[in-house]
This record gives sequence, C-alpha cells and structure tokens, in this order.
Amino acid sequence: MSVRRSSSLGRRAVLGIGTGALGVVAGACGPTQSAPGSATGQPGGQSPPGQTQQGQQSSPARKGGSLRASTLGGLSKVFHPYPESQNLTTPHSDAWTLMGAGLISIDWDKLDYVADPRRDMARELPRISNGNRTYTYTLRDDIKWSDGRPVTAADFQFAWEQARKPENNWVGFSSVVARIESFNASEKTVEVTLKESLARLLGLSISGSIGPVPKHIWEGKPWLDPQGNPELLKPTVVAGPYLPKELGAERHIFGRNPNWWGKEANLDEVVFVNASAQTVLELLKTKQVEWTPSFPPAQYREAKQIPHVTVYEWTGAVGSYRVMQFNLQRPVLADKKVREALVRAINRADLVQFEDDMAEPQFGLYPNNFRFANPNVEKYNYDLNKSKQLLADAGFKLDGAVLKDKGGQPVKLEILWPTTSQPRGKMATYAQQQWKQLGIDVTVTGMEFNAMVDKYSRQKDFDVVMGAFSQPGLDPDTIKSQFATTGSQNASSYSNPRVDELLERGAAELDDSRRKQIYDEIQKIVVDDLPQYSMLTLKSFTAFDKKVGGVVPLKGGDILRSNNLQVLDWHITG
Amino acid sequence: MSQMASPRTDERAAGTATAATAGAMGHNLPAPPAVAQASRRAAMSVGFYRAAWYKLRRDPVTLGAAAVLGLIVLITLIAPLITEHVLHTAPERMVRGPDGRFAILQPPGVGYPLGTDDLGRDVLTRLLHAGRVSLSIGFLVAIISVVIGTAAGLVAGYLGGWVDDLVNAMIQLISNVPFLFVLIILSVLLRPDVMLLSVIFGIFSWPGTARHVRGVVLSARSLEYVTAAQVLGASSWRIMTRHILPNVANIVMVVAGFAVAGAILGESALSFLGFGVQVPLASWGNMLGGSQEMFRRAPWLVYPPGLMIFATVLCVVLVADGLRDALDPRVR
Amino acid sequence: MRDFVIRRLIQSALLLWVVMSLTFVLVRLTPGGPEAAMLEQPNIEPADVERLRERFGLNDPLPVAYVKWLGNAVRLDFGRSYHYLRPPLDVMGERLWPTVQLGATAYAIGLLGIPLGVLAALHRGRWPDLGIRVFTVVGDAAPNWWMALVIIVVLANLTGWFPQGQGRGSPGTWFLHIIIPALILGLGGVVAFARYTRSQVLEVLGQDHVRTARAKGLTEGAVARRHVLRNALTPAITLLGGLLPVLISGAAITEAIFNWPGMGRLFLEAALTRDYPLLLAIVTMLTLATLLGTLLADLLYGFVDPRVRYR
Repeated sequence: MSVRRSSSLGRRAVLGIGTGALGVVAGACGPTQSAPGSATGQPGGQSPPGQTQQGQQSSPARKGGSLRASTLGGLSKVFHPYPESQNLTTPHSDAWTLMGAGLISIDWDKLDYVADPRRDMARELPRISNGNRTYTYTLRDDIKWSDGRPVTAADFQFAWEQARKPENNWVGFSSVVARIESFNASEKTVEVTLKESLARLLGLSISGSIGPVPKHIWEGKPWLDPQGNPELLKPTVVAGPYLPKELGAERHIFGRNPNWWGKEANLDEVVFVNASAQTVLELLKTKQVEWTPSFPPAQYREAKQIPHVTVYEWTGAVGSYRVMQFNLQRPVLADKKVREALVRAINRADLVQFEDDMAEPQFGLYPNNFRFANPNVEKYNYDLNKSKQLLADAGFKLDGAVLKDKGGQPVKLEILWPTTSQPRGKMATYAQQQWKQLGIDVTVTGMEFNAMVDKYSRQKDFDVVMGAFSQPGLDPDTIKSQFATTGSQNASSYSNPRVDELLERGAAELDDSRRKQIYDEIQKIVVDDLPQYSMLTLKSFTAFDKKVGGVVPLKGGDILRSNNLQVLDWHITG
Repeated sequence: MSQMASPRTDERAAGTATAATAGAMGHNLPAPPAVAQASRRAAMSVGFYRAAWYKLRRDPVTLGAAAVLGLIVLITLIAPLITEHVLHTAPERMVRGPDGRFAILQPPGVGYPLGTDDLGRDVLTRLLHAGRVSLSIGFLVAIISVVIGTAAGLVAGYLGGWVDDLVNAMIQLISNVPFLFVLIILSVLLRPDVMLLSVIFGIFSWPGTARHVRGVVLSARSLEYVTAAQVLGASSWRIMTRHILPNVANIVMVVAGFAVAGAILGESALSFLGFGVQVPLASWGNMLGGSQEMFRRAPWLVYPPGLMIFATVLCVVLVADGLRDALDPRVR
Repeated sequence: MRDFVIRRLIQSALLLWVVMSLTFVLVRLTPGGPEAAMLEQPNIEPADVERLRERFGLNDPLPVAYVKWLGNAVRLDFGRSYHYLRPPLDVMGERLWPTVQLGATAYAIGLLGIPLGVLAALHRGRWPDLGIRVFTVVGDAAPNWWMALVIIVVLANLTGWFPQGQGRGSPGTWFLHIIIPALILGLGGVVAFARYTRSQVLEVLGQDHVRTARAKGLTEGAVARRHVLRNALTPAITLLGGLLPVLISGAAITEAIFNWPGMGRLFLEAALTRDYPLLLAIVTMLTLATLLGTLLADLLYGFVDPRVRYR
C-alpha cells in the first residue's frame, strides 16, 4: 500500500505494508527494496521523454539542499534493523532505505537482482552451488560503517545469530530464517545454505535478506529493549548513505553519512514531516515541503493543477491490487455459479472510477505488469443477464424483486470494508447497488481495520470482503499464503489439491519459463474456481516540487524504496 | 470543572481520554459541588409561563433561531416527498452520464443543484435525507440523556447519601472510560446504526444532565413547601415527582437542546474517523467526513453539510439559551 | 475539612480502580488484538503470531493478565508499549510539554469568555448581550475539525502558508504555529466560560445585597466592581483545578490536522493500533489527573465561595 492512503491518523497501512522487506533482498537491513510496485517506466508525462537513469547521471546534479517530505501514516517509532512485525511499517522501510545497505538489491529497470556498485555490499551476485542450495556472496573491501570502521563478515554473522533466535521475534522468521539451513560469514564471504533447492529469485531474496548489524556497537546490548539499547530508537552507526539527525514526534531528519562508501548523495538532508490526509498535499502546495510521497487519489487532479508541482504516475511491475474475497464456507457462496453471478454483475470499468481512474482492470492474481501475471484467464466480463441466468441455474428464484433460495428464504449478503479505505467503501456501495438488481439484499459494513481483520481473517465470519493485497517483490511465491489450503491469508477457505501441488512445484522450479507456466496454470485454476475476484491493479503516483530533479520512476512501485535508491540522484535545482 | 475539561465535544467523541468531570456531550458547567446555592425559583404558574413568553417575544435572536430550526425540521421531515416528486431522485441512486460513466464529482448544475458526490449521487437529495438521520440522532440522544439524566439527578440530589455517591461514581466512571473503545466494541458486536449510535451517545451524555438536575434539586430540597410536604408525611416518590420535578423542567429543556447539538457535532467527529453513521446511509456527519479530502476538489461536498450542521446546531443552542433566559426567574 | 479530603481521596482511589479495571476489560475484549493486523502480512505464519502473543502476554487468561497488570500499574509500571517498545510513561513524557503548551494556550483563550460573560450579563437583553450570545454560539456550532480544515484552506490561499507542527526558533514563530489550533480548541472554552459567567453574574445581580446596593443608588459600575467581579472570577479560579487534566489530555483530531505532537494523538494512535500498555497507561494517568484536578477544584471552590460547606 505504498502509494495509497493508509489511514488518516498514522497507522500501519492496509494490507501488506512493508511486507516486501521480506522475501526481497536485504530485508531488514538493506535498503528495504520492499515496497510494492514497479513501473513500466512512464514518468507522469512531465519529465523529458526518453530520459533514463543513465541519462540522469550524465546531467550535472547540484549538491546540497534539503528535501522535505510530507508523509501519511505517521513516522517510524523504532528503528530496529530486524523489526518485529508491528514495527515493520512504511516509514520504517523508508528510513532504512536511507540508512541501510544490503548484499544485493533489485534493479527496478531490468527487474532482476544485481550487486550494484553504487550501493550494494556484495561484489557481484552470489555463486550458487551445492545443488542450488548454497549462495556464496563476496563482500566488497571498501564497505564501512558511519563511524569509519569496516563492515566485516562478523557483523553479518552477528546479525544472523540474533535474527535466527525465535525469541527475538524478527518478522522474517518464518519467511527467511526458517528456510535457511546454515549461515557462515567469514573473511570476505557470506555463505548461505538453504534447506531446499529453490527457484533463483526466491533463493536470492531469502539469502540476500540478512544484512549486517554493527557488532561493535550492539554486542552485549539487549536486542529488543531500547532502554538498554538506544540504537533502536536512534541508530548512531549505520552503513547506508544517510544517518539520523533528529527523530522527533513531528519530523525526522536524516543527514549525510560522512563515511558513506557508495555513490555520493546529492541531498544534504532528507526530512520526513508528519501530515494528515487532509494536509499532506496542502503542505506541498504551500511550499512547506518539496515532496508528497503519497496522498489520497481523490486529490490527484488537484495535485496536477499545482503549477510548481510535477505528479509522476506509473503502473508498477509489482504493487497493490484490489480484490473481492468470498467466504466459501457460506452455503450460498459455496456454489461457484452464485459467485460468478455476483462478479458478472460488477463492471471493472465502473470500479476504476472509484479510484479516481488511478487504477486499471486486473484479471489474474498478480498486478498487471508483474512478470508472472497471466491475463489469459476467465475475465468474468460484466453481463447482468448472464448473472440472472446463473442464479436461476443454481436454483434461485426471483420473487418479485427479492431473490429466494431453494428453501424460499431471501438471499442476504454482507460486504465488509475497512473504514480506513474510502475507495473500498465506494466499491462496496456500488456492489450493493449492482446486486440489488439481482434481487439480493446486501448490507454494507464498514469496520475499524483491526476489528475487520479479526472478523474475516481469524474468525472467518464474513460473506464478502473488499480486500487489498500487495505484491512486494519479484518472486511469485507470495500468493501461496492466499491460495494454499493452509495459507495464513486464505480467508476464503479455498482448497484445491492441484493448486497446492503446483505452488510447491513453483517454489522449487529452477527453469524460469517452466516456472512461468506453472504460475500461469495456478492462476487459471484459481480464477476458474473463483474464491477471489481480482478487481483492479492500482497505479502508483507521487508528487514533487519542480525544483527537485533526478526523479525517474522505474518499474518499482514506490519511488523511494523500490526505484534503485535513486534518492542518491535527486537534487534541488534553482 | 468546566467544558474546558473536555476541550471540545467532538474531541471527546474522538476518544480522547479527556479529563472530564464535565459531561461527555454537554456544553455546560456542572453545578458546584455540594453547594447549597441559594436559589429563588418562582413557583410554577400560568403567570410564570406567560411572563416567559412575553420575554421570548421580545427576543428576536431566539425567535429567529426557532423559526429557522422549524424550517430545517420541516424540510427534513418531508425530504422523501421533495426528492421523489420535485427532484425525482433517490439518495442512493448513482447517476450515469451520457458516456456511460458515473457522473462523479460533478459541480452544481442542471439536474443536480448541489452537484454530485464521489459515487455520482445527487448531493442535495442526500443532504435532505441525511438531515433526517442527523436530527434523529440528535433528538434520540436528547431524549435518552434527559430521561436517564433527570432520573439520576433527581434521586441523587433528593435522596443524597449513598445514592448520591453511586450516581456521582457512575458519572465519573462514564466520563473517564474511553469512548472510542465502547464504540468499537459495540459496533462490532452489533450493527452500528442510528439507534445504536444514539444509545451510545446517550449513555455518554446523561451525566451532564444529571449533574445539572442534581444541582437544582439540591437547592429545591430546602424550599419551604418541600419541607412542608415532608413534614406532612408525603412519600419521597411523591415529593420528587410532584414538588421537585417541576423545578427541574427549565434546566432540562436547556440541557436537552445542548444534547441535540452535542450529538450532531459528535457524530460528525466520529465520521471524521470513520466511526459515525455507516455509508451508504447518509448523515450530515458522514457526508462531511467523506468530503474531508476534497476541500479543494469538490467544495460542494464540503460546505453544504457543514453549513447544515452549523445552522442546526446554532439554532438549537440559541433556542435553548433563549429559553433558559426566558424561564430564568432570577432577573425580572 | 481534613475528613472531607480523606473521604474524597478514598473515593477517588476507588473510582480510579474501577475505571482502570473497566478499561482493561473493555480493551482486552475489543475485537482485533494487537496481532490482528499481522495476519495481513504474507509470510507471517500462525507460529509467528503465537510467539508475538506470548511475548506480549496475550496468552494469559484475562484474570491472570489483569492481576499482573494491576499489580505493576500501582507501581507505575505499565509494561512496554508494543509499538514504541518503551515504558508508556516515557513515551507520554515526550508528549507532555507540547500538549501542555497547546492546552494552556487554549485555556488562556477560553478565559476571554469571562469578561464577555460579565459584559453580557450587565447588558442583559440589550445588543451587547445578543451579540455575545450569537458570537459565542457561532464559535462552537461547527465541527472543529471541519473549521480547522476550512481555516487551513483559507489561510493557505491567502498567505501560502498554514501552521503545522511546533514552531521552532523565535517566540514569534512559536506563536504563529500555536495560535490557530489553540483558537480552535479554545473556542469551546470561551463559549462555556461566557455562558457560565453570565449566569453566575445574573444570579448575583438578583441577590438581595446587590438589589440593596442598587437601591442605595450605587452606580452600575460600582455594583459591578464591588459585587459582581468576585463572583465572576469564581469559575476561573475554580477551573485552575480542572486545568491539570485539560492541559495534559490533548485533542486528537486537532493535533492530527496540525501535526502537533500531543497526547490526544498518541491516545488515538494507541487505540487504533491496539497498543494495550500505552493505551491503559494513558487512560490511567489521565483519570488520575482528572480526579486530582476535581478534588483540587472543589477545595479551591471553598476558598473563593464561603457558601460552600464540605460534607
């Protein structure tokens, strides 16, 4: 939910925020290349055409200056490099993008992993051996901490030894630690052995997730207690381009790391200022900030009209998408005909409007531009007559304007949506109107976010949920949690042995094109089964003051976190 | 302790643990503690009300406010007739333009005098219907607050002792329990509709009424005719209902007015946070809450419900104020 | 007097206990515990959630958790905030000063209601009274978040600026940043003070000794000075006691809109993220402050108003 409004009052965003920090390289420590999103590289039409990142580098960039950003969703409360789940938030990831560095990272232009000399700690991509299980990274010689001490293999080992402890509660415990058999860092190499042979993207994302922690600072201090370890609240020694200067309740200031070993940053300072959904863009408009990373889509047009502001808009190769989830345990919804009737009464072209046109129809299980997305699945195009026919086929009868089941009972459904997400509320209202035409009595229930999650995800007490997901990284394995029978996010209670088997095979398949075929098939089966209806892929957008140069959206979703650490190239002109 | 103790009605509704010996909703200062204030209440009589009416007639502000309020209530009462027969719309109808797209966020124009909202619905129609919801909440809360508050204040003030302590404790308790939680819990357990919201607001606003009533009762208790009734052996129940209750009528009317205002404002504050009346049902509060990000994009969504709330609250409070003044026997 | 204080202290302690207990139960019963949102993260397995629950002590049965919490709370140990990882009182401490600044300024603005109330009472029924009545009500008749946003939009249009956050540097900057949110918060106070003062003064004016004074031919000014002023000041003095909780409780929405790092926002944030330890600490401390403030107010009242008898 990087680019979307998360909440007006500073809360973890709706689904899947920052999840990308895992399953993507350099999870906690690295420049958390987390966020959803990735782009087709269409900068909002306002930057010079054909400008690429390379082109950017060749233009003379001014050094110095301060970039202030108005942010939604609060500021990070702690800065733990290996955070617990509740602390892995968008602002946390933003901060570590500035403060951290990792072994490797994602090139959001080529959509593959790289060892980028401008910012990564490994010399090159790891050597893969031992039947695809062992990944051996070689460290660069010149990497150092902000206090001037070299980053050593011991720092990696120290981090691993802590991260692997269950009691340290790292959010990546299940997705990273549990899949690593051994971790040996010595001299100049970091050797990670996975428990099983995994597909290359997945293997890189897991093995590259362990970044260093400054052992000379952290050793002997408690891992999770800020009272004994103030580093959690304000890191004094980091390995990334920026170092925290002031971390208050209303703004966070990051200044240059004097000992940064990568490509020199242009900006002296990056400042995050807290803002509410109502003021976030006003701050940019009144020149109190130079950047508004995310703002409500309802304000998109307004943003475009501000003379001194450039709005960048692109559709990521990864990113957020909206779905409608059905509870298959409900007798009415257990029948696929009914589900199909419901979704055929929904027109995606209408839904787009409720996102202020900042979205496009999606058919597969991944955002449209994701490499593994399969658009050649059943689209369930809008067809009200077919809906009615399907319901009749399923044994439902219209009694006047009321649809009744075989037992003569009127059909009733409830749609849940979280009150933190206005667009989803609109879509729920729209669905209510559409389904009314089928004779279904629909209640729309907006719920406080945590309460809603509890109701539908844990208690599984719901009919229909307006859901949202985020595809965080390059690997397609992420949908496992939604569609595997035992998946932790399988709210629909969907179960298909064939899909379970394919998901297992997909995670281990080494051949890229065969892998694509597997995930294509999974998508085809799941879309046919229809436990969940894909609605929209959301576009990314962000607004900068025109005096900020060097901004080039790539195929990442979030301009800061998943666009090749281009904050190093940003500069203030004029 | 004062209103300041809960900085603003809506802030409290927002769940701030505002200190509050002041009522959750009330705009009024509590009666001074344990003070037997000398009070000269005129006996209720026809002459008294005639004098009050005479005073009211010369109070243009109150009369004007009452007229506007009456108009607002009338319009919202007949809202379905207006929207159906004059505007030919329904509050939930999503209008499509000629291109097949929803007429979303259209500025005021032909067909929609106050524009359309972010779902392509007619704002004027929703505004009229929303008035029914908001006013219902306002009046329901006032009724609940007055009934419970008066009863509690009456027994607390008249009986005193442990009853008084108990009521006081409850008042303190309600003022200190975080409102937002009660709301979240109830809205999950039950469906948050107009009735439920009103009950919750009512529960959180009766302490204000009770405090006022108690104050009046304390002074009325020592009036000669009450003492006389006691000496004559009248039951507590009879004294409370026959002799003391009439004294309370004035203050109750006023407090009820503030409860109406407080509830309407409170609902809008909750809507700001997404906890108010749930869409698709429209209330002035949730129309306003839904427009919070569109101050520039669509001012026609922002100002009409805001002004309706403003006008309604203004009139209700002015009328209540005016009534209090007119009924106040202290200065003739 | 001493008995009164002791009695009230005991009452307050009891009440505090009930509020704490009730809040504890309410909070723990609210659907969607602190770990609910975690389910939304892919890659989080039930075992992860379980570990987190264990660490937060959420697996204890409610009575056990309650006893543990209460036992620690009386020693002012509220555990660790889930999100800040620190003791709640530390976190609250950082918010205290900004909250007090905003609360005190708003309170000072609210005090303007006293002269307005006196003025209105002295000119009862005439235009100053009507004017003040309308003004005070107008100030309080719209949702204050809405007013705040209207002000921000208008101010941004007119000046290309609006206040956000605390002003740093000069006192002028500080004032510019605090004045708008303080005004918005203070208006409610103006209304309340004005209304209260007006009715107090009216009551005094109707009292025998004032009537006598008037009958003796004292000028209105003299009457006002001698008899009215003292009574008019009563609420202000009384409210000093009530000031304590006001100053520290904060105002969530206004703070959020103006990016003021205050207690109200912290509370709302804690509520929405289900940060139980922080939330309970805030409720407990604010209730404590309220109760002490009320007690103080009652005592002060006795000093300024000799009619008060302590039971």
